[in-house]
Amino acid sequence: MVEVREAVWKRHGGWWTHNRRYVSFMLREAGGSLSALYGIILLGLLVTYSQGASAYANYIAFLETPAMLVLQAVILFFVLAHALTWFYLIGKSQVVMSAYRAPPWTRVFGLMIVVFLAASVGVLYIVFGGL
Amino acid sequence: MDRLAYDIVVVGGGAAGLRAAIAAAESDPKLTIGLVSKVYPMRSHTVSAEGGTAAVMREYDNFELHCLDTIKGSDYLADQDAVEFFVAHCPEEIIQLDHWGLPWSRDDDGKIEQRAFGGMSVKRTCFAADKIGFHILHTLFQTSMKYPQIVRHDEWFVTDLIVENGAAAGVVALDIRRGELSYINAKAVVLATGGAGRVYEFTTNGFIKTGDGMALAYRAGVPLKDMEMVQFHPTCLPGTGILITEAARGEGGTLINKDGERFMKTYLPGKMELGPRDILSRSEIQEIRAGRGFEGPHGAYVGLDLRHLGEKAIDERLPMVRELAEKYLGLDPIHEPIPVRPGQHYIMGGVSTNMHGETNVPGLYAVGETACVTINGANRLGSNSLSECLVFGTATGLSATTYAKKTDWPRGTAAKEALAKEEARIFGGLMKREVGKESVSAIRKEMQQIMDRDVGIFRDEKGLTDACAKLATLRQRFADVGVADKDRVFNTELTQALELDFMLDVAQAIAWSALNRRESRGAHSRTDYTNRDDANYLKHSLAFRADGAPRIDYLPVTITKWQPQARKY
Amino acid sequence: MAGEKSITFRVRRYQPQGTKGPYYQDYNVPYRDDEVVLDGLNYIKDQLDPTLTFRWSCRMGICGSCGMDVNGSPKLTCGTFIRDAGRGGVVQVDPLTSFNSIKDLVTDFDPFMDHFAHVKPWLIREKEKPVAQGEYLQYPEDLTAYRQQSLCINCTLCYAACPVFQGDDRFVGPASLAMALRYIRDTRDQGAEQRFERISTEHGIWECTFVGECSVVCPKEVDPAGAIQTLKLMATTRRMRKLLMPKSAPR
Repeated sequence: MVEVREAVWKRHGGWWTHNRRYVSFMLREAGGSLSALYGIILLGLLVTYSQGASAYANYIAFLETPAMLVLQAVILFFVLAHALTWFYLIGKSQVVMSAYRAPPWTRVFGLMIVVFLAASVGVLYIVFGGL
Repeated sequence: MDRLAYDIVVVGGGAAGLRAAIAAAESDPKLTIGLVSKVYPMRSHTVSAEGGTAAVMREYDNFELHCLDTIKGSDYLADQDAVEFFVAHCPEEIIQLDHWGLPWSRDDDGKIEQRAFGGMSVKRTCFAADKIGFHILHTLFQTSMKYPQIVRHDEWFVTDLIVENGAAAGVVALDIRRGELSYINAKAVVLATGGAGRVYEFTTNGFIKTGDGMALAYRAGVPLKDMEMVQFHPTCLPGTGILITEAARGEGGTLINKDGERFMKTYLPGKMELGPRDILSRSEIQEIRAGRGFEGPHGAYVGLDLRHLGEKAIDERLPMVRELAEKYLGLDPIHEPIPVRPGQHYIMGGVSTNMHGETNVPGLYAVGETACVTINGANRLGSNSLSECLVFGTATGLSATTYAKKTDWPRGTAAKEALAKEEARIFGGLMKREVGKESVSAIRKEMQQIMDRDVGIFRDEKGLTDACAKLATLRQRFADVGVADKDRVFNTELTQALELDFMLDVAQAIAWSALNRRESRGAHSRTDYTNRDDANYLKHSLAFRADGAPRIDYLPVTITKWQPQARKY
Repeated sequence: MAGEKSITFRVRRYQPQGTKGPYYQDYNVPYRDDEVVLDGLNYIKDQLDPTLTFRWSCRMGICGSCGMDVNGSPKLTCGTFIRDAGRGGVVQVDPLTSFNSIKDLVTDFDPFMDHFAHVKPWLIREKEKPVAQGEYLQYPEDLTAYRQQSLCINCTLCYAACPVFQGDDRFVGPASLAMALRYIRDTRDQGAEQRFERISTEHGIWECTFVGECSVVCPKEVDPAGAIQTLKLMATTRRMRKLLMPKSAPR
C-alpha cells in the first residue's frame, strides 16, 4: 500500500490581514464587542443616576476626562465601521426575502445609509430638546 | 489491497454513465454498482453542453418528424430501428429529470419550454438557459448520491478490461491518488467515457476527452463503428476552441462574413443558420477560402451576430454566451459579432453496440459518445446527444442489470493475470523507461496537428494516406516515451501518457476508416469523392484492432421506413 | 504558446513521496494577452517540467477543476488572465487555501464531498410522481427563487475563502449550505425538514459569522453568504412557528 502523505494546510495567526475584506470583517466584529462596552457605559449612567445627583455628576465628569473621550471616539469609529460594513454586506449578500429579484447592492447600501442618518437625526432631535 | 467486486462496473461519470448507474440501482436495489471515473463525476465533459436536449413534448410535434429529422441529418447512415426506439423514449427522460430537480427553463404556463435547433424542423429542444449539460450532469450526480449501492471510485483511471472465457469480468484501474493498480471484478462492465475530441488540436472538448473507453473496447476485440464520422461545430472561439452554443442561432443569431452578409443564403437558403452542423461548418470554410472571412490573430473567422436579439433576450436565454465572449474575447455580443470558426466537437462513431448497449463481448456495454448505436449516422443533430446519453443510459443500465442477475461471478485467474500484465506494462515498462527520448506532449501535439490538417472537415486520399502513415510512426515513437515524474502519487504525467496511448489507437481508427470510405456523406467530406455513394457505402465502417493498421470491415445499415433520398434542406 | 512577453510563474511544489516539504519553484513563461494562468501552467507542464501536477479539464469555467490560489486569492485559473495576474512580474500559484495538498497544486477534495453529501443535495419527495403523469408545473418565478444557487460548480473557491472553515473543518461550509437552500427553495422539493435537521446545527448555518468572502470569490455568483443568512432566517421562522403554532408549522 502506498502511503499518501498530504501537505497539511494550517491557518496562520495573521490570516485576517490577508485582504481588506477580512480586515473589515475583524473591524466589524470588534465594533460589535465595543458597542457592547458602550452599552455598559450607558448602563453606568442609570446606576449612578439611581445613587443620587452627585454620583451622577461625578460619572459625567469621569466620562468627560480626555481618556474617556478618546475611548468614546474610538468606540464611535468602530460602531460606524460596524454599521457601514454591515450595510455593505446586506446589499451584497443578504437576500431580501420580500423582493422577487435581489436589488442591486448599491441601492440597499444607500437605503441603509439613509435609514441610519434619519434615525441618528431623530435621536439628536430628541436629545437636544425636541419633543 | 481491498478485494473489489461489483455486480456492475460503470466506467465514466458523465450523463450516460450516471444515468446507467441510476437505472441499474433503481431496477434492483440489491445490485452493487461501482462507478469508476478518472475525475470527480461533476467534472465530466457533459458539463460543457450548452444548448439543450431534444424530445417530442408538444402537440405540434410527433415521433415520425423527430425520426425523419434525425435520419435525414445522419445522411441516412443512422440505424432506423434505433432511431425509432430513441425518439420514443426521449420524452420520459425529460420528465424523469424534472422529477429529479433539473431547473428546466419554463413557459408561462409552467411547462418545460422548447427552442429551435439546427436540423430540427420544429421547436423541439428542451433547455435550461444555455447550461443544459451542466444542469443534467449535476442533477444526475446529485441524484446518484441517494443510492448507497452506487459506490464511487473517484479519480480512478481504468487501464484495461478483464475478459474471462470471452466475457467481460471487470476492469484493472489505477487509483490516481495512491498511484496503485487494482482489479475490480464485475459481472457486467459499462463503458461511458465520452468521446475522443482531444485527438484533434482545435476542439471544443475538455482535456479529459481522450477516447479511453473506445480504446479499451477496441483492445478487447470490439470493433469501432463509423469512426470517420467526426462532427465539427460551426461556432467555436478562435484560439481556445471554446464552444458557443447552437442555441445562439436557435434564438435567432446569424452568421455574417466580413461584408456583413448572411452568407448562408448562398449555401443553404432553405434553412440558413439552422441547417445541420456539417453543412454549416463546410460553408464557413468555403466562405473563408473565398476571401470573405475576417482576419484575426488566430487566423480567419466569420462573425456570429446576436446584436439584434437585444440585451434582455441574451441575458435570459444565452447568459453563458455573453459570459464567455466577455471573458475570453473581451467583447460584448450585445454590441459586436462574436468571432467563430468550426472546430472538432463530437464523434458520431464509437464502440459498436446495438440499442441495448451490448457489444460483441458478452457483459461488455458501451453508451453515450463512447458508443455508436447508431442514431447519429454521418452527422448528429444538435441536442440529440444529451438525449442519447439519457435514453441509452437507461436502456444500457437495464440490460446490464438483466445480464448481471443471470451471470455468476468470474472465478478464474483472468483478473490477477490482467493486473500483473498492467503492472508490468505501466510500472515495469512506462515508468522505468529512459526519460528524454520522446515526450508525451510532443507526440500528442503532432498527432493533433495531423488530425486537424488531414482528417478534418475536408479530406482526400493523399492527405488520409499521409495521416495513416504518420500516425503509424507516432505509434512506434510512443514506445520510447518515458515518464520523468517518479512519484507514483497523483502522477498526471503517467495518466497523460496512458491517455495518449489510447488516443493513438482512436486516431488510427478514425484515419483508416476515413481513408476507406470513398464517398462524401454527412460530416465525412471527401474532395476527391464529392458525392454520396449509396450503392457502395450505405453501410457502417467497422475498425478492428490489428497489428499495424486496423482491419476495416462493414455492416449494413438498418432501414425501416425511410428510404435514402438526396439530402436537401 | 509563443508569446512575445514573459513572466515568472512561482509555483508551490510538493511531492508526497519526496523527502522535503512544500517549496516554491520559479518558471519563466512566455505569454500573450489572451492567455490565462492555466495556459501558463500547461506551458510549464508541456515544455519545461512534465512533473508539475494540477487538475484541469474544460478550460471554460464550468467544470470546476482548476481552482487554485493565484497571488493569494482563490481563482479558477482558466478564467484568470496572466496579464491581470502578474504582480511585480510574478504570478504566484498555490494550491487552494483551506485544503491539504496531495501533490503540487492538487488538493484533497474529499472533505468537500463529505460536507456536500451531508445536506442531501437531491430532490426529496414524500411520494414520487410517476413519470407517465408528466412534469411538475413550475413557473418562471419559481425557477428564479432557486436558480442562482443551482449554478454552483463545486469548485470550492468559497471554502478556500472562508475563515470559519479554515479554523474548523467540521463547518459544513458555503457551497454545501447554498445547495441546501437551492433544494429547499425548489417548489418540487419536500425535504426542507430533513435538511434543516442536518444544517440548523452548531457546525451548520450557525457557525457562519458572515464574513461574506465566499460570495466575493464565487465565480458563478451563487452568493453562498446570502444563502446562509437566508437559511438562518428561515430556520428561525420555522422554529418560532413550531413553538407558537405547532399545528401550522411548515414542513
